[in-house]
Amino acid sequence: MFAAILLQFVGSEIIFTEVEETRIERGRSQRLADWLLFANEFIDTRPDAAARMNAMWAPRLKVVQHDAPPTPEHESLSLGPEIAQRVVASQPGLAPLDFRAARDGDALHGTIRLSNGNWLSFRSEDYFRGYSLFYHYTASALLLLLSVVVLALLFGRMISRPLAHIASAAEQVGRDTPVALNTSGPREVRQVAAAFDRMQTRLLDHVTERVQSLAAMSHDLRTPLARLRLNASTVDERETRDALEQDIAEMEAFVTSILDFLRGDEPEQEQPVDIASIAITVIDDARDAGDEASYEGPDRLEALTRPLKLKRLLRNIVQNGVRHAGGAHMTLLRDADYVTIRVDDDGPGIPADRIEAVFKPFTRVETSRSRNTGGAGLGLTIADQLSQRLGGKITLTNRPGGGLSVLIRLPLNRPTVENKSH
Amino acid sequence: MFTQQISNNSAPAPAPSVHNRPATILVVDDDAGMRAALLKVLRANGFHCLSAADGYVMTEVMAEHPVDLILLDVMMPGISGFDLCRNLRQHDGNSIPVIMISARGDEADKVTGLELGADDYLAKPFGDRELLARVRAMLRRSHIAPASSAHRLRELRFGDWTVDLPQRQLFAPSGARVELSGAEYDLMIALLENPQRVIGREPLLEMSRSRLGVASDRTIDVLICRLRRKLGDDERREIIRTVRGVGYIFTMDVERT
Repeated sequence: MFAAILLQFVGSEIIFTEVEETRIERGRSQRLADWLLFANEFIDTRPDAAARMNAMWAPRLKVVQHDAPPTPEHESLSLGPEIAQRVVASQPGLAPLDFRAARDGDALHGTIRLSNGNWLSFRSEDYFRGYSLFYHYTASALLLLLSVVVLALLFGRMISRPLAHIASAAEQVGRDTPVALNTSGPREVRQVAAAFDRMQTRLLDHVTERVQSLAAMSHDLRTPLARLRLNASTVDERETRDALEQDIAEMEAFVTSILDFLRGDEPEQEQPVDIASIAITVIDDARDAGDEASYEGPDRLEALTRPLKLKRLLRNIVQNGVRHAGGAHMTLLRDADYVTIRVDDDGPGIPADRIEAVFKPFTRVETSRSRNTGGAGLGLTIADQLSQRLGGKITLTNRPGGGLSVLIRLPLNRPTVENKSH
Repeated sequence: MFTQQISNNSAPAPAPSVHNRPATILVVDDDAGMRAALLKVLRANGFHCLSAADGYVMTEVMAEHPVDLILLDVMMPGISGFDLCRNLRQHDGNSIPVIMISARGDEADKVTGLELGADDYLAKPFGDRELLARVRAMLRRSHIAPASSAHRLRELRFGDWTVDLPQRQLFAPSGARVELSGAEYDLMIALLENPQRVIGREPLLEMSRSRLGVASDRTIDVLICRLRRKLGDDERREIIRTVRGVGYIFTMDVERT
């Protein structure tokens, strides 16, 4: 942008200077030609003619009459054809007078052959001084350019800062909490910010409404499910009871995963948490439920995170492995800035072309081995959502030896350990 | 008296009855179907049951009959279970054990219930086994160590570790929250309530309310092992020491606030 401004100013300045220069130049050559012609006419009229003319034109022009070619270098006097032509052209009467001139610094000096046969040498001290105007114009142009650039920077900053603020706010919308927008800057930017704020409110209201109705439905299902479960336990015939309990367990899993899915948006405070204790508890719970699960990693690993979300995340991944692959093996690792949680299973894996699709809600990869395995098809969706809420990333890969490997990388945000006094 | 029994390792599991009569359980729930289902399961297991559809009936019933345990639904029209529980504890100074039943299984609800003076919390949907285990454990607990509502503790400390009782949370010396399963937490509280005393496996199992479906002596060993690991006591076994052939002893001083 500034380059464009610079180019325009320099360009217009050059053109302007050029035009102005030509105009001034033409005036100057005209005047010189007029004076020289006048000198040719007037030089013989009285003896002090030269002195009178010099007095009249000083300090612009000085003339001296000679009866011989005035200087040895007279023959060598010449001038760039443009100026000589211009001077002669502006006064055709000068044409037969053998006009010769040369530049000497700012001055122009030269000779003409007078009509009386003598030579007249002349010197105009300031003939070329007008060119300094060029520097004057350039300076003013630069000054103008500088102020324009400073103003542009200033305005740009005034607008760009609140705009950057809005952009970063837009980036945050849809996370845990509504984004507060401080509305400063020019009026138009404030309008954008206000409109953005209203949009955010409408969006949040809309989402909240839908989530609340879905959550309410799921909650309402819990009481009939509890009734069903208690009543089923009093059924005497074992086969019927088992079948009932199996169905109820499936429905419960469905309701639980829907609620987990919806709760992903619930705000939760970050706090220092022993991540290893959460991982171990999730694995122990799975083992207590009779599932094949194991843990490998440190006994303690502290980080700043959201414990309920992390527990739900790990529970969903482990359940996914247990349900679809008959087991889950969790490995916990940490490096300088990240915690890596890997959950491997020995199941059939996921076909390569479906790996992205399984993160979408209600997607199930049905293979010959996993028959009716229950769940809402939300396990990995929840895991993906929760990983994002925790500022991390989840990736799925099929292991070379068979089975699926779920990799979760979370930022460590290690809490600063406060030393309690003893 | 209690600890003597323990160190002798001769305490039999207390029967789910108080003073030689079946324990009386009051079920407070506005949902008639839920009430019926709860009564059916509890009666089938030998408990004497009363029911109330709301807080007013609950007050009337309690005025007329002695009650050993209340199963209280949280979401009720009119006065909520939370309010009823608070009134019971604060205005009436009543320390009858209360188990809250809620359809909201989330942490916040659980903490609110426990802070208002409930003794335990059951999230719907729960099965008959879970219900009976909690009810029995609560009755035993109130029988052996009646909770005094006058000074409900808020915090237990041992070494630099802290237990937040209303939130049922353990915090490491660094201040980090350490995740415990329900059974591990109950076991830890049982140990912390009797520091520097040998406790047999059987009484530990009873006091820790046996949240696990299948409970045995072995269960306690597994739970102790898990608890040690989380306390960083896996190698040295200094905080929780094994007393061979008898049980376990919690060695550190416990500060109550």
